[in-house]
Amino acid sequence: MTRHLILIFAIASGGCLGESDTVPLGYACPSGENFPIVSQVFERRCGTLDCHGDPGRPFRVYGRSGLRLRQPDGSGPPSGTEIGTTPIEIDENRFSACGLEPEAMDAVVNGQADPETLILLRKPRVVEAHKGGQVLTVGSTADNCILSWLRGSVDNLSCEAALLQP
Amino acid sequence: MKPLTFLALSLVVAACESPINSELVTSLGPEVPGVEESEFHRYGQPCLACHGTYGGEGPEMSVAGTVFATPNDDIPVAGAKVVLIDANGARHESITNCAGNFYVEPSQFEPLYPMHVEVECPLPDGTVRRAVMGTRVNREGACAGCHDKGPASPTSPGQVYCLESQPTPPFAIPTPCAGGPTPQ
Ligand code: HEC
Ligand code: HEC
Repeated sequence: MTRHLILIFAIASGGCLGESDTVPLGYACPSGENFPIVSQVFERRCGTLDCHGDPGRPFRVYGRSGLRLRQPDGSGPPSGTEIGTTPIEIDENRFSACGLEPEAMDAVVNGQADPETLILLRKPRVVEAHKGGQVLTVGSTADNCILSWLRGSVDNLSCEAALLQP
Repeated sequence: MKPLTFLALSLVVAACESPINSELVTSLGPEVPGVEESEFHRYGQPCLACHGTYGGEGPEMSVAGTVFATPNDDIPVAGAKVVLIDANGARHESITNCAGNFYVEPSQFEPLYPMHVEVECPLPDGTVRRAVMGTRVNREGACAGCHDKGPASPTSPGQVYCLESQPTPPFAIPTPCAGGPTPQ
């Protein structure tokens, strides 16, 4: 059963790989190429079931130990088990990050705006009110990881270091 | 009632009532007949829906939940040690009662999130298993806020449990317990 599920996800996600980053969205979104480790940072920092893994909240984050992407019939991999975050879930997390403010994100990717103006950073840094409180500190490894992705070149060392933190 | 008192009361009520929370409370249903409103009632349910800041029922709780034997049974585990460690490193330990329930009042421990959770389970063969939760809790004080009763689903890791499956000798329902399940 588990092996079948993984196979199905691998096949389903094959169709998404290699596509241009703007085609499915209609606006520019930072690359998905080195995004999986950034997704892990979002999953760990933002995606727990009591935060953005709660389907009732905006900026939905899927992941292995949070909310799982469900088929229309409600089926999907169980939360908190050995089935890792799937490629489709990782894509969804990226679209979710970009979909918060599509025009602003477009401007960031095209070099017309500073990534630090996005609510994707302003809220967790509590520059703007955030119900979940302060989640990112300027200059921290997690903050650097997300910022580097927004600037177009993922800083893997920062991302890895962020994931090692308790 | 004087109009001002009424106004004051309705303001207080409005401030405390959250529509999402009252929906949750309704979905939990009535008390099980024969079980008093006590530390043994409503095992497996999100205690803070009623005993949290928004719930308004006494005692107020900061953290609470229930420990079960395995993901697929209805057997609460008594005597499990629930270890909570908050972002400052402050540590609090509770022991589950015969309904598998434990609760912490804010005066005892009010965690600074994110919070780390571990459970030390007494197994039927006399040994202890330490289960460490990899995920950190960021806001939700009720274990069942994430851990729905029953096995894992796409929206929940399922109930808090001690072992993946029944060991030999197996876990049994603690008896006598006013709040736990009553097998015929
Ligand atoms: C649906 C609402 C609801 C839920 C869920 C709930 N309780 Fe209660 N609980 C109550 C009410 C109502 C009372 C009675 C309060 C009173 O008498 O003032 C109560 C009373 C109690 C008391 C106080 C008994 C006393 O003698 O003062 C304890 C302890 C308690 N509950 C523990 C728990 C635990 C542990 C859980 C979760 C496993 C839980 N409750 C879940 C509604 C709830
Ligand atoms: C924010 C959601 C959330 C809350 C709240 C939560 N948990 Fe968890 N818990 C999870 C998830 C997801 C998993 C599965 C993945 C993992 O281990 O991190 C889990 C796993 C566990 C495990 C299994 C560890 C193992 O592998 O054997 C235990 C034990 C546990 N939780 C206990 C608790 C207790 C006790 C509470 C209440 C104090 C609690 N949890 C509150 C989300 C939560």
